Amino acid sequence: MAATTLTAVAALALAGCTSGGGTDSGKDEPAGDGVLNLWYGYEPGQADAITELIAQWDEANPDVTVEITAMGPELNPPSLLPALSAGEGPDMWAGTIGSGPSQAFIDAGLVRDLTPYYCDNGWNDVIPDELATIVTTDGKLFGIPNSIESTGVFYRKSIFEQLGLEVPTTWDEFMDVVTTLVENGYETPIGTAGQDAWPVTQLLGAMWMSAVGPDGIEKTLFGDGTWTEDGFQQATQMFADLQGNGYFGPEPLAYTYQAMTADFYNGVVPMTYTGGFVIPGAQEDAGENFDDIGVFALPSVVDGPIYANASPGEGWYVNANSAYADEAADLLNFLFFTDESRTKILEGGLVPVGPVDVSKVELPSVLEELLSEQDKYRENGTVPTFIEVLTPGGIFEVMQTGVQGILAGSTSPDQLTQSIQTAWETEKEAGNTLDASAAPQC
Amino acid sequence: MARTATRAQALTHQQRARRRHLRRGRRRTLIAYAFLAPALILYVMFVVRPTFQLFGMSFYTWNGVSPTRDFVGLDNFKRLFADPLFWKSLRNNLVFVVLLVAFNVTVGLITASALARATRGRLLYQLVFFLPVVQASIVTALVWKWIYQPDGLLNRLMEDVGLGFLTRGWLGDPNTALAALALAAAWSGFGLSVVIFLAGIQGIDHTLYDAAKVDGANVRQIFFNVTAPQLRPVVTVVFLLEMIGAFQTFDIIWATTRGGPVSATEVLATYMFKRSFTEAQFGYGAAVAVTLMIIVLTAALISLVIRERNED
Amino acid sequence: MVAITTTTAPPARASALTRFRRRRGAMIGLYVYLTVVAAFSLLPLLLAWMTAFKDRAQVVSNPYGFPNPPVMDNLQEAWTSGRFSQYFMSSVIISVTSVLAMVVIAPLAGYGLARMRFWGREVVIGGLLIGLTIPITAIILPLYTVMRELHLLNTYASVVITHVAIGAPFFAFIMRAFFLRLPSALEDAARVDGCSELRLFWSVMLPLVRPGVLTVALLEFLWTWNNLILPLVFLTSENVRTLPIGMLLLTGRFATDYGLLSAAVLILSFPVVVLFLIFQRNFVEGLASGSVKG
Repeated sequence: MAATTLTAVAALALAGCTSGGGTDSGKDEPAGDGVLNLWYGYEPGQADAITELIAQWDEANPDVTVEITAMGPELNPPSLLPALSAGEGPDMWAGTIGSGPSQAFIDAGLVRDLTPYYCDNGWNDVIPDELATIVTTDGKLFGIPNSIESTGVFYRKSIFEQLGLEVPTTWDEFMDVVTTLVENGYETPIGTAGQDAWPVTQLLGAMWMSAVGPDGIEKTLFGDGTWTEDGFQQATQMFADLQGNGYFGPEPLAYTYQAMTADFYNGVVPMTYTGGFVIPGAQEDAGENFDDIGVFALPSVVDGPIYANASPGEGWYVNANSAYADEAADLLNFLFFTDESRTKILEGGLVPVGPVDVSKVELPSVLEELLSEQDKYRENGTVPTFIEVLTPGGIFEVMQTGVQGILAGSTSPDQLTQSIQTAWETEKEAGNTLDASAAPQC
Repeated sequence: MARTATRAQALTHQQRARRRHLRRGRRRTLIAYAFLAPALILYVMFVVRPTFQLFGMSFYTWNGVSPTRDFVGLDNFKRLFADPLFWKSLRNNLVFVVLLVAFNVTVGLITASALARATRGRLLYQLVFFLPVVQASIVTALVWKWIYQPDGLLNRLMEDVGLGFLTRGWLGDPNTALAALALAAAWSGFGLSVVIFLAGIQGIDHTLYDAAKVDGANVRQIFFNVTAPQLRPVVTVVFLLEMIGAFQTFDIIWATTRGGPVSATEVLATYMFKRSFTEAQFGYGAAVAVTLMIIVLTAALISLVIRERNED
Repeated sequence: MVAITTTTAPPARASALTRFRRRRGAMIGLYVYLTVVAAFSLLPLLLAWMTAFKDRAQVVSNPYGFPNPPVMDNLQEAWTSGRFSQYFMSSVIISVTSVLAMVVIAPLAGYGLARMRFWGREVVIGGLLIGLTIPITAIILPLYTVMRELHLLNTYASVVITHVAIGAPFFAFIMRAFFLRLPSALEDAARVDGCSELRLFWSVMLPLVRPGVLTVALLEFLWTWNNLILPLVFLTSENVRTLPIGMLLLTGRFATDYGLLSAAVLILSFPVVVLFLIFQRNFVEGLASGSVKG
């Protein structure tokens, strides 16, 4: 009996012993001496510009303490969803942009409307309208994109030099480069991380975009276009051909993204399709090979114009129930809308939203190349980089499985586009697809 | 007068006896529930009640956060049965269960028998077999992910012994991924079976063995005619526990292949998790969970019935 | 007469030497088998533990050999900047409390199930058994709401209570198996003496099932120590996080520091391995008796 009482006492004692960081503390205390809870995921072992900036802001604002809880893509779904669902959760968090849980949070009124700050603080001058529409629902702005991500073909300059290869600008030239690499013993000219699937969807997506263009994708996403139209079919067929010709190597499905980038840094794989998000970590992982990395835009699969591509990275949201909304908005303002911060983020390898003066900043060489490639083709139009930002969650899952199927030889291009169309129609019926919306009016 | 009195007395005596029995029974019941109270209260509050809420959830469409949800009756279940991915998950799950349980029970039994006859180092062997069991599932997943890499330990070993032609990306090949994960799961579990079976073997009456030896039985005959039948109850328990656990496998698959490639390792638990958390469809996810529970219960009941039938 | 005696010759038996050789061969074969299986169990872990002591260069150049030279950097990094020292404390608090709670609750319940006849016993047993089939991830959402209503979020109590609630049926049955083996003569005698049920349980029956209690304690410690999903959902504040979460945080998407990860594995598994080393004999006995009768 004594033991049970002891346990009961212990349990009660522990219930009280949360030492400050609990989610309740943010609500009961007056805004002035409080704790701002932030859930932010960062790649472990990476020097992170954002956390340093947050520390700076924290010092400058003594009456609020920012408590960062390390989250990440692994941890968010099972942690964030129950928390918000029960009316709890952090004051701010960095999460995915797009349909699925993020949109669900917005629809349920759990995310704070940031439009007032957007207008009053002049954020509307920094965030381009096309980007603002992605994070707008019903004319209200709910999230702040932390970066612009673009993708391209990353390659090893020394290998190209060695073989006398030029950067290709047409698809035929690209295929020539690939065959030359194969002839010279490179088993895997285009590295694809099949096991993780998502990196490969970026390549397939890019091929789609080059075939249908900005108008085509807009029609499919917001109009009555389908995923089975000619452009998509042709691009998917050409993707399957790449696999059929063995250009993805003997076993693309065996590679995880980590393994593939490791081989890319080692020079075993001369090219891979990926994006700027790899750059911050690459500086450490590639070591001395970092400066040898170059990037060029993927040539058009239909010999048409090459488009720039851009998608928002992560979105930063504020809890609708937070007592520290003003402080949160102030932090956001500091992080993403002041020149010094944006310069610092850029130097870290991430491209912040809005105009950046590249001339004043010491950029990693590969990032410079990536940005200049985008600038080169921007006049032709811009297409989205990440399909998942603009489509319901179920679509991305189908896309990943389909892409793996093509790599395994068990799915045909027809089947892939058809399965996506079927999933799309189901989601559309359920009202889960995004509506073309305009940026908020100020 | 006297005779009616005795009959009345006799009845009351019976009544009194029954009432006493009832009172004792009631008192015993009260005491029993007092003993069970801590466990039952926690269990009901934190397991049973949420489970009933889960049942309720399965009849709605709900994204997990919205204050409102739509009643859809059996639509979630209809959708479930019409989804080819669900059936694929179920099939994968069954294959996984069979592989895992077969390995653990067979290897466990054989190893335990061997260990029983080993005179030296038994405790040391037991400890080594048990080391994988005490590892967290995330550790098992990570370690085996390394081993299965194209340049990992398994392929290295194969090349060293001249089996180089067999090397492949084990977790990337839709044909091998599921079996590879089953092996990893088996690695982390069979040690437990060994320990349990060994204890069971050691608990078998020696006279049975002596009798068999006198009859001139050899090792194999002793095993099948003495050891195995005596171990039947133990095997049943191990089998059931392994099976229930195997059906609910989530951690190791989520930490390695996430259900890929091409849904080759998609099982019911990952299927449910994706629908619920990644796609914010909690009503549907609840329906999957309920179906999973029913399947596990059915499998357990079938196993028990078969065992009963075999006993006779 | 002579013919009869000659036909009753005994069957031919191998010579004693052959039998000895055959038995020794079998023994050698036995130990070979056991060693192969032991290698299967041990090698993956050895690989992980060794990698903990290698720096980044060695991980690439010498992935499968002994660390040469061994470095402590990974362990240090995990412990300090990886915040494993903090997580370690949280894990200890949660596991120890869960164990203390379980070794009280499970024997009580197990005893009630084993030695008492009462109304609804079959229903209770059935209900507890069905509980074994409930997947935790399925009820995590309703559980979260319950914890919130009780204001236990971000407290160790939420995780401890859930562990005990979920584990109680299983461990109650293990304890029940132990109690069933005790002769009923004991309690009959005690009851005749007028001993109260509780006294009987505490002073007489419980000490007799000590191996079972130890088994329950070890298994509960193991399970709570390794559990990931409950702290993931209920403990979202840095200062209450546990070791498995720390490990999960180290598995980044873009690059893996195998050395650091291995150090994490070492820290995570070290306490449970030590515990099972110490209590191995008792644990094996306990688990065996528990399931043989189960």
